[in-house]
Amino acid sequence: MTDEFKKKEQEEVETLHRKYFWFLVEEYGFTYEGPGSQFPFQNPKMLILVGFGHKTPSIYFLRRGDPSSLMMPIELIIEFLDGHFPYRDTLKYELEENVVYYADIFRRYADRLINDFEKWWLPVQLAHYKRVEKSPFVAPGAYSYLYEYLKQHGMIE
Amino acid sequence: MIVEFYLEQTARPGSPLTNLPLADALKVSSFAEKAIQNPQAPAAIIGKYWKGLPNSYERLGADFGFTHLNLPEPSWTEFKLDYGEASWWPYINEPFAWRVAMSQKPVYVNVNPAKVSSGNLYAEIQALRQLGYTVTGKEIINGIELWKMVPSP
Repeated sequence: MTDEFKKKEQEEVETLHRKYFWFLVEEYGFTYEGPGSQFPFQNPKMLILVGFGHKTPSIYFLRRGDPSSLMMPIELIIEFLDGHFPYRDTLKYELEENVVYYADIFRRYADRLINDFEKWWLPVQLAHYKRVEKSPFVAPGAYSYLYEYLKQHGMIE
Repeated sequence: MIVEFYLEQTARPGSPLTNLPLADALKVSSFAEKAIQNPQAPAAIIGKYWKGLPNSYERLGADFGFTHLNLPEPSWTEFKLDYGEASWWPYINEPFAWRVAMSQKPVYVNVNPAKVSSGNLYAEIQALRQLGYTVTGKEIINGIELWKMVPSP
């Protein structure tokens, strides 16, 4: 990949960050770490990854200081908070249309996602652990790191 | 190599390549061969594509020398114009997942597979799962946390 191509990609990413996710900086006080950072939006408590694929944006949350393996996608957090996430067939739309769609959902839930972060962070991890623990697709012990994390934080006996 | 993909895929029951005229089936095979990087590597990587980020799967695949799928430009645009983006999954991506599974090589994922709930990556993980792969845990490779999937014994 040429440097010129990389530069162009990063400019595109920064444009989308600024155009659709700047409310995190202006309204919620996040710092912007730039388009090449794994977690471009950060505050003292949390890190947020906003990445862009060919068609679909990705939004992941991580508690500051926790390993990146614990980062949680917005879809699963909203499923936990409200029982469902309004999935759409993103392949039928252009990337920017999907970015608008996801940014709108993020904005609608922003108060709960950001201000109530401490309330949902561990319960969401616990809900995820309970789900994978039962999955036939997961080998025994595959998520032992998550078990240890939850035990350490008093979520599991 | 083009003929190899064509013969391999058209021998699979239900392969969509069998419904294409020979010229198109060979052309699709040519795109597939261009898209499958490091085919002889002992491990493969799939995952989220994140424009410009260092932990995007295709950048990790190139850095680690793992088998991965990445159709460079201008071939990607040519493929989209000729066959449409919706054809990527049946013509290239699903056969790639099948080929990886047949090789029984471990597959690394740049995000937790159990947290992926939509899109092509979800379909890829489901395909591997149906072909007997399970998540065995995470590994740190060159400082990057990756999830490992292996075929059931």
